[in-house]
Amino acid sequence: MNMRFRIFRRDRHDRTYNSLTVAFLRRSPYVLALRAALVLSTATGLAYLLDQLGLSESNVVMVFVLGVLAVTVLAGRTLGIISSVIGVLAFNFLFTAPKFTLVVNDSTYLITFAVMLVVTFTTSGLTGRIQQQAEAVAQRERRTEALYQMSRSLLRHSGRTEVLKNALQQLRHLLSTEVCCYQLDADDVLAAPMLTDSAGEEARVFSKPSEIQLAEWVARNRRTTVSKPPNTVNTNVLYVPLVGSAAVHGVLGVLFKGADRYLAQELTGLFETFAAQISLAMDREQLAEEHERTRLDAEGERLKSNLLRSISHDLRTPLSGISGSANALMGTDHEPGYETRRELAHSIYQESTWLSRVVENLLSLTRLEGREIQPSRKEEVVDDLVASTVEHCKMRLENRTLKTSLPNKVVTAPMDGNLMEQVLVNLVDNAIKHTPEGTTINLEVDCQDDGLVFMVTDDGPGFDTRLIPHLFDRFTAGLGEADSRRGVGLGLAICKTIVDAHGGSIRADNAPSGGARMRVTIPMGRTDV
Amino acid sequence: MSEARIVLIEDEKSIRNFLRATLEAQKYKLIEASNGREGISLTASHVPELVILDLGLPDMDGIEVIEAIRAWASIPILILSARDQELDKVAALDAGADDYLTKPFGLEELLARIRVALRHTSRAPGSEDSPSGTFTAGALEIDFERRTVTISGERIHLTPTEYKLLSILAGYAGRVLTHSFLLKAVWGPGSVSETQYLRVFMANLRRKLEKDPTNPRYVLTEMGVGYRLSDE
Repeated sequence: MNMRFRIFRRDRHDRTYNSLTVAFLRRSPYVLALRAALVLSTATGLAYLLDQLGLSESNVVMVFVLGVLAVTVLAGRTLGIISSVIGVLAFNFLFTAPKFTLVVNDSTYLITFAVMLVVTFTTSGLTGRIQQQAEAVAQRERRTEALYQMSRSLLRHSGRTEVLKNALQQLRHLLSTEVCCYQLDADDVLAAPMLTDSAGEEARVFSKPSEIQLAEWVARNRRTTVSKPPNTVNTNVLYVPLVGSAAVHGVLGVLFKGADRYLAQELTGLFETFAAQISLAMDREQLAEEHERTRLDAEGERLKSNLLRSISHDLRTPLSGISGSANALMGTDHEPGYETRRELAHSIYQESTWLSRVVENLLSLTRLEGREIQPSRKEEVVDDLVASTVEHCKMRLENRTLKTSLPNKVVTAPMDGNLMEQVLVNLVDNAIKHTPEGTTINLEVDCQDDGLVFMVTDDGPGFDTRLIPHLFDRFTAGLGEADSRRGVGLGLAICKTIVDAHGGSIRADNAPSGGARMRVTIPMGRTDV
Repeated sequence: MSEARIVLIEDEKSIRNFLRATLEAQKYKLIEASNGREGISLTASHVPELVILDLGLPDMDGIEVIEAIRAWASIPILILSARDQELDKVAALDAGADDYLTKPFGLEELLARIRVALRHTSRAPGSEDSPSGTFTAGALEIDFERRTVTISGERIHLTPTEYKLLSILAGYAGRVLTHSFLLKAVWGPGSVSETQYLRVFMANLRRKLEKDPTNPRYVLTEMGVGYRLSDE
């Protein structure tokens, strides 16, 4: 941490805004005094030279006046005024008879001294003030520029953490010192200090329990504070609360080290301005986040009510079948015959297996949508997947044939086995549902360049081409057939959700032979084992 | 085999009803319990030939029931579970349960599992660990003495690992073996997480044994749980 301080802001357009600080606090007083001494001795030397050359004393006086002016410019007003006294004394000591004493023979010199003193006093006073004003203007300009830069970069970022990170980076760049931010969560608990990426060893001070405690105090009381962390050398930390419109967002910490430590108090106002800007950006982000949350909630609600509407149909139909059949079985006036009983029982059985399919689909859906649509992917053996799909579908085939074909070698692909099985079962089920008995359904798996391809085809009537674009829309069953047949309802929409979650694609079309064809592609990790 | 006593631990009344109807029609003697505590004490007092246990009980975890029973008896335990309890299922099998059925299940399936479980009770314990003689299921025949596997008399060539897997499955024929059980048995305790390794071996084994590997007759896959060798 080296804030570089210069007396002269010759480089007012210097792009490193390192010195946001008061000019004369930048160098230690010793350095300034040394400078003043150097300038004064040079002036004295020059005067001595002029005197030796036999030039008149008025020239010597002028050299001293010039020297004092130079001291004022280079070392500030206070040293300038001290120099003017020293200058007069030196002139008296070295150049007036008797030389090397402070005694003067010629009393007219007293007037010279007085005039000299007044002139140097006045010039150094005036120069100093002008210089301070210029410095103040330059400094204000730099601060405005810094604030401007900060607010511009705050606008460029979205997300609260992102905004904070950027603000810290910006501050660190501006000040070349360690900065940090303690974020306050919804329960008003202070998080661990967030540091810049380039944070060095010294930033560890922010993690000390005493400092965290202080930051907590600052957040609670909304008061800027300067601390002197224990067990540190020449270090002060400035804590500024980030006060938002609704709550405190956090606490900004700035480390001042070495000679700069005195600046912590000095620059409080500046950092409070920075903090206000950051808080404003945080407010903005918080609002945006809340807005987004509300939008998602609304979207979720809409989905939920759509889902309810569509499944209530899917559930009600088999349920009324089951309760009706059971009612008939219980018998009222007359005992149903054996054949009738068997038939009723059979339909109860069928309706309830259908119900469990619906429930399983719903379960898959909640598994996917409950979390961040991220299936748990493991390498699964394709053979197993197909075998268990066949196992699941076999019961419902009823005089249809299910043919399968596997890749030549045993292959694995990263997927959620249960969910992908659900996809294949749904596709085969769909083929069963929409084809007459006697149909052959093919389930083929193949490794191709673009991944693992599952193809389900049948030699039934194929898709209504008007329907294809809407097949995967959520909860849309076939055009107008929703009530006559059991709607696909969730099935294909769930397939799409699952396949998408695997980074794959699903497509439907009609095979050249006329039957329906579904093609699912999912990316493969490695080919074979 | 009839007159075998079965303790049924299930809190759902409708399922108890239909199981009672079915099992009593098969001449099993059913003892019903509606919660875990009751189930454990009924098991202890009746010492049945089989326990059918629902994993989702109101008073305690199904796994605890298994552990309680396993603490003193090796009575076969058949688990009933819902589909969203896969992990519980595996945990239950690893805790000592013998088999499981996922709700909703078919009656045929249930009866077949009960038959398998009861067959195991009548078998001498320990015979599973070092299979001897021959094993036959359908056209599949394993001769443990000569280490040969034939299907309809035709010799099948297996790698040593495939043979070992098959003989372990045959030792527990009809029962589901979890991935971790098979891994431990074949490759030792260090490899329990290498499920994928096992699956590839099993897929290859199945391709050698089955006419249609996607509709297997002998080596059956229990998705997410393990494998079972058909014993009929």
